[in-house]
Amino acid sequence: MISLKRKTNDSSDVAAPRLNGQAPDGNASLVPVIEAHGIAKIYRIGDIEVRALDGVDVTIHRGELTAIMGPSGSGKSTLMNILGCLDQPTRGTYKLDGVDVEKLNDDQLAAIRNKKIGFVFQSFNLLRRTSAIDNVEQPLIYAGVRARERRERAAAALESVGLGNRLKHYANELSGGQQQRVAIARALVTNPSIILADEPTGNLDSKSGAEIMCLFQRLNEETGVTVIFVTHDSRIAQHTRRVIRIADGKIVGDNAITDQIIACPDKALPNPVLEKLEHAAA
Amino acid sequence: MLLRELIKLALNTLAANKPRAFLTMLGISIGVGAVIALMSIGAGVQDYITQQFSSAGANLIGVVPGRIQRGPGGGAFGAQAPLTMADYRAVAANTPNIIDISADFARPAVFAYGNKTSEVNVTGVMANFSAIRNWNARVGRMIDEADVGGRSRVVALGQTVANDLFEPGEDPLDKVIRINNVPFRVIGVMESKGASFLGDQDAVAFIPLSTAQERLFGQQSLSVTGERIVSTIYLQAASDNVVDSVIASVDELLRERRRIPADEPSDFSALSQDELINTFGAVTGVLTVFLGAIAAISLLVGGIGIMNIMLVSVTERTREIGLRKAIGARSSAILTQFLTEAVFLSLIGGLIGIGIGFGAAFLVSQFADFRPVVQASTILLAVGFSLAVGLFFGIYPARRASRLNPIDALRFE
Repeated sequence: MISLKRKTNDSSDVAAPRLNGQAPDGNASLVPVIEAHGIAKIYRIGDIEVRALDGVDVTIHRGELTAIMGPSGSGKSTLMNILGCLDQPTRGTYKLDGVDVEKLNDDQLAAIRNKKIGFVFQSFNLLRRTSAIDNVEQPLIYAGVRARERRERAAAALESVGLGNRLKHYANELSGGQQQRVAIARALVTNPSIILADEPTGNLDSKSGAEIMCLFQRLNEETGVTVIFVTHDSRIAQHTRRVIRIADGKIVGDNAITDQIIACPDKALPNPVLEKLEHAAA
Repeated sequence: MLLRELIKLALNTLAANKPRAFLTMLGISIGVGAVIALMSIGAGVQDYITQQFSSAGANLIGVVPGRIQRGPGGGAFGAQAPLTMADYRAVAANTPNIIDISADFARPAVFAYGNKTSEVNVTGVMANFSAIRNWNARVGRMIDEADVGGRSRVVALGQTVANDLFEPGEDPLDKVIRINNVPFRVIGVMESKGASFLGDQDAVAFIPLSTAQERLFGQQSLSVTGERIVSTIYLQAASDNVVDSVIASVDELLRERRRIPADEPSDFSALSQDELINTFGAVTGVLTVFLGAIAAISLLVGGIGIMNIMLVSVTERTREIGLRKAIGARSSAILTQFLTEAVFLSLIGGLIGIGIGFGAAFLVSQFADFRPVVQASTILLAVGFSLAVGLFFGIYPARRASRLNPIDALRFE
């Protein structure tokens, strides 16, 4: 099992700007969680060859809060699908948390998604007529976790996103912001290596959107979980610490955010989120 | 992934759309119900027939002239050289393992009393007829040794004949009726055996065999060799186990007496009750299978209903399938989930169908002479069939679900 207490550091490397995550043992090494080299995705439509991705190199380290930005048609969705192990590149190598992903078959990819990736979607994708806690439990069912442990971990994950009092509510009874928080809890519950969030505030009003961004920032800071946003919205990018820009299937920029917006009204982190998650996983 | 989780998932999904699940199940329920009801009715008819034959007497063997084809579509045909009293005596003297033997002679006759008439077979019988055929007089008495020895003009009437000739409430005993214009004294009225598929069993009248052969029918009862003709020779075997050997020895003896070459079939038939039951049983068996097959068609239609609904469900839940794949469901888990749903639909439908089948069988038993028999094998067959229907018609939609590409599925609107 992947430890929740991710090893992060305070290096001011350009690719991995100043990380605010705690480094209790003072270890300063950077641990890459995503290492993608020469990624290409080529579609053939009749005689025409479409290069959705054309030689992309990305390295993302543990504990980073990153946005992959680009206009529609830039290839960012294709990149997200490949990084999320939903799709495989035509060429190139991709190591996720040390595993060579491009060699895996469908079932192995499913297992990798289950263990190492948490998805958050623009449209939440919760199961309707299903309670919040049952929704959060779903990935653990596929991981083969026993019912009792599933309950505990799902409850802890929901508590960590501030929905400890909404466990039994049906997904369709919750507000949009609450639904997205359930989705985040579902992404967190397996202790993934990365969280991939695809336009997570796209269906929310600005207040709920800010709350969601605050939640991501807080989770990143407290637990050191690696979060990657895929967005065309520069406001989301402003909440991160690094922006990778993509256009026409190529990376055109990779910058640290110097004027990061802190979404949380109070920068303090009141909830002992970390202990709760660790307690449940133990 | 645990099977328990799959079952829970399937039940939750079905519960989330109860009207649809119910309507889908209904097809299977009606199919299973029809199979159970019709097969039970078939089995009931078969039991009823067996019972009708069994009431004729225990371990009874009948020998009649002509060849009776066994199996469905059979009947007596062939050259009908009659059986005679000489045959009866030979069989009686030479057949081991029999308790009793009897012969009768039956011909149509006109019965008259006052201005009322009735036309039925009159049967000349021996004194042991009652014992061997398990049939006694309800009032008065049956033909006895003295009647046969004295060639008496006495008659025991079947219930139908008694009803035809006498007014309700009128006592037929000791009344004198005319059979083919010969006066006979009524000595008894037989127990009613009721009407069945064999015809009205009470449309009979019994007189002494000697009286029938010598006084009533005279020349008509003589064969070309001058022997008295008999219609049927009845034998009662000593036990169930020797019925076949008795039949074989009668067969051998009569073939020899009638000089039938070894390569030719017998021109007479020795049949046990079992064989008669089997002959009719084969007919009703075919009928049962036929009814079951018709009912199975409705099961098939129900199965197509399941497939239809499952296909709709897969389309509706494309995003759910995409999500499940994204969070780590293997294709096999998706396949199993949808298959479990289909199987549950058909299985629950099947269980409801058993109830419907029982109800229909019960209703039939209220209105019909016979009692439908719901056999465990029928229920197993119906449940097994509905399971198979669920699997068969569920596999295509489930495969479709499991093969969805998660990227496309997640983007599906």
